[in-house]
Formats: sequence, structure tokens, C-alpha cells
Amino acid sequence: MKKIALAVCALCAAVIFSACSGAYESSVGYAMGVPVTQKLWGAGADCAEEALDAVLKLEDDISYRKNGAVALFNSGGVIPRGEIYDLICENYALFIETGGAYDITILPLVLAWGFDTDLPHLPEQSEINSALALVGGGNIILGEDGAYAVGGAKIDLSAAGKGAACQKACEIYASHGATGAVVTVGGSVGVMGTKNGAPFTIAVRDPFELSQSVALLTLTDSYISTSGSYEKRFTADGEEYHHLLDTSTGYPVKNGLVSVTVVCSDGALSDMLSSACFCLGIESSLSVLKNHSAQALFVREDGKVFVTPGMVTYLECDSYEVLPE
Amino acid sequence: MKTGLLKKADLIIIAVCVIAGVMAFVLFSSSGGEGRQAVIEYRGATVRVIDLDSVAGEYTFTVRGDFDVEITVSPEGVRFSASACPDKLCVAFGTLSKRGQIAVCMPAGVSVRVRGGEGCDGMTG
Repeated sequence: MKKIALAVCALCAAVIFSACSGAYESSVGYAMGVPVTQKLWGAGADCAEEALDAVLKLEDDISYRKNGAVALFNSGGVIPRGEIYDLICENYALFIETGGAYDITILPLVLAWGFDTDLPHLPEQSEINSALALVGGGNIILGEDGAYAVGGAKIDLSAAGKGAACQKACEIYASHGATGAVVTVGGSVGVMGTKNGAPFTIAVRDPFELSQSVALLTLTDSYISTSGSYEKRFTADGEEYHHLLDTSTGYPVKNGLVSVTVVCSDGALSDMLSSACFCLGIESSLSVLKNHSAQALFVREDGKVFVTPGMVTYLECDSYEVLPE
Repeated sequence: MKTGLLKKADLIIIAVCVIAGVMAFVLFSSSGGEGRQAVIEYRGATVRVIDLDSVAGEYTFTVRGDFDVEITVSPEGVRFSASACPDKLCVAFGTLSKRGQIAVCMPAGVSVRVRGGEGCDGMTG
């Protein structure tokens, strides 16, 4: 008995020693076409594996290229009430709130530009017109039995997916009792708890020098997503085109912004708002951000950085202007 | 045979547990790593790990992803230096040198990231 007690004491000491050293579990996977990195404090590899599996399952459900819920919706089926239905409702609400600037029925337009492929191209005006005729969030019906499309509408949830995946992962970390975690799914990041009492530092990519950061955010329990015109782009006839499309014109948004980073307490919403705010521009974004208690960092073509007031407390940036409430 | 309050067997158990603890510390700490490493991955599988702090001169190698990409390593860091992918956006990322920095060639499915050393916990954008 004494031996067992001694062994337990010694093992406890070893575990405490390891915990105090700041050790963490680290893993990398691949989902949604991007690397998924996970660092966990106070939880093990099985937790990271479970989180990656959940992200892959989510990808199956929300990718229009797979055979899950969204593919079913796009082929005329009904998405029953549940997680994906709720995500569509959240997206539909933002469509209404932004006056259609953010619209998940944008898929026909994305396909016309070839942004779903490795070779995007400038479409003919007739192709843009045909695609625009199918775009309209009003063609999503959210009924008692589920969500379905009318008027040939097809949806693309990729503007919400990576943020939603970060939240999914963080929920799993919490259920395993992790004390801290940081997960990145492409350009979306989720941070949960702390790393041994310290907050996490997240770099915001510099749109003009992509390996560098334009700002650092030091925070806990948040989701951070960025939409930038540098992500997918091509040049045709001497003009540059990016993937963030204006549903009123059918062409890439042109409002002087090059990137928008949003921080909030909901993963999918951080992702959705970064796209929505890019399309809305700075001024029109402010009320939407306020409605969701979200903060944002805008980078303009001229290199100037603008932030909402609530971000200042955890922001490190060489030069920026604070926007009005 | 007794040695003070503890038997010899007790001391052996304690010694074994302490050694196990130290090994656990070394093992767990290695995931955090003090030195900077460049990790090159193809669709989540590690292709190559490079100790950036011990790079003396510049060299280049090719990773065969969905498109071939050329990676250049130097004392300044690691970068996509050329790519057979259509958009070449990966080359525009420039040189990565600090922990948390990541560059991705989406068409090729190849990513490069830096772990260990000083830097951030993640990158958005």
C-alpha cells in the first residue's frame, strides 16, 4: 500500500512538473482545403483527433463539393432542422441585416468566375448576368420541415465554414477539460482559455507583405477571421480581380479595402462578418458589428489601418485610427 | 532492509517515477520546442522538418504536391520560391521566420509553417 502511495505521489509530482513547464499537445491536419493546426493545454492527442474528425464531418456537411447537407440542398433537397439548418438561418439573418451585401446564394457567380477552381477567369458579361439571375437570399425557404431552395438557388457556406470549424473544435476541447487551446483552420482562428494563465497572441496577416503581420491581437476565448482581396486573385487584361464578389454588380468588390479581420465570441459569425464587412465597407459595417458585439480591423489600399474602439485594449499595431462607436 | 524511513524498494520506485517524470517533461516539451523549425506539409502530412536555427547557407528543394513547388531555405527563413500552380499566390507570401507564420499553396496542397522560438500562437488571414 505504501509503495502504491509513493508511486502515486511521485507520478503526481511528475505530472505537475510537466504542466508547470508550459507543455502542450500539438497536431496538424488538413480539412476544408487548408491546414488545421491545434495546440492544447491540459488535454491530449485523442482530443485533437476528435476535433479534427468533427471538422472533417462539418466539411462533408457544408461543402457544396461533397455529398452532405449543402450538396443535397443545391440539388433540390431539404435540409432538416438541426446544426446545418441553424447555420443557414444565421447566414440568412446576416443577408437580411446587410441588405443582401452578404449572400450565401452567391455560388452561381463564384462558379462563373471559376473561383472554385485553380484557374479563375474573367467571365463574359452574359455569364455574369445569367449567374446574377440565380442569386438572391430570398430564394432560401426556412420552413418548419427544413430549409430548401426555390428559383434554382444554390448556396455556398464557405464564408462561414472555417470559423464554424474553429468553434466546433473549441467546444470539443472544453468538453475534454482542456485549460487552453488555439486552433487555426486556414485563416480562421479560435482561442479558448489560456496557456497556463497567459492570453494567446494572434498575428493579423499584412496584406502587402504576406509573411508578416500588420497587427497582433492578445486575447482569450475568442474567434478571429479575416477576409482579404489577396487570398484568391488573378490578373486579366492588365486588371486584377479578387474572389470577394459584389452581388449587385457581379464583379469583385471595389471599396478601397484590402482586408477585414473580425473578432467575436461566435466562430461562424466571425467568418461571416469578415466577408460581410469587406463587402459593406467601413462605414456601413459599424452598425452590423455593434449589433453582434464584434470588433474589426480594416486595412485599406493606402495601407491605413482602422479599428473599432473595443479592439484597442488587446491590439498591438504600429499605426492605426480608431473608428467611432 | 531499511534505509531510514523508506525501504530500498521504495527508493527504487521513487527513482523510476522521477525518471519517468523527467522523460515525460522532455517528451511534452519537445512539442513546444525552443528552436525554430520549418515544417513542410502536403495535405496535413509532414514532408520535411528543417531546423531553421542551424541553416548556414541557402538551398532549394522541390515538393511534389498536386503541383510541384520549390521551397528555398536560408538563414533568413523559409519561402515558396517557385511553383507550378496556376496562381503563384504562394510565392507572394515571402519569407517566413517567426513562430506561427504560415504560407499555403492551396492548388498544390502544400503548406509551410514555422514552429518554436519567439512569435505568435496563430495567424489570421
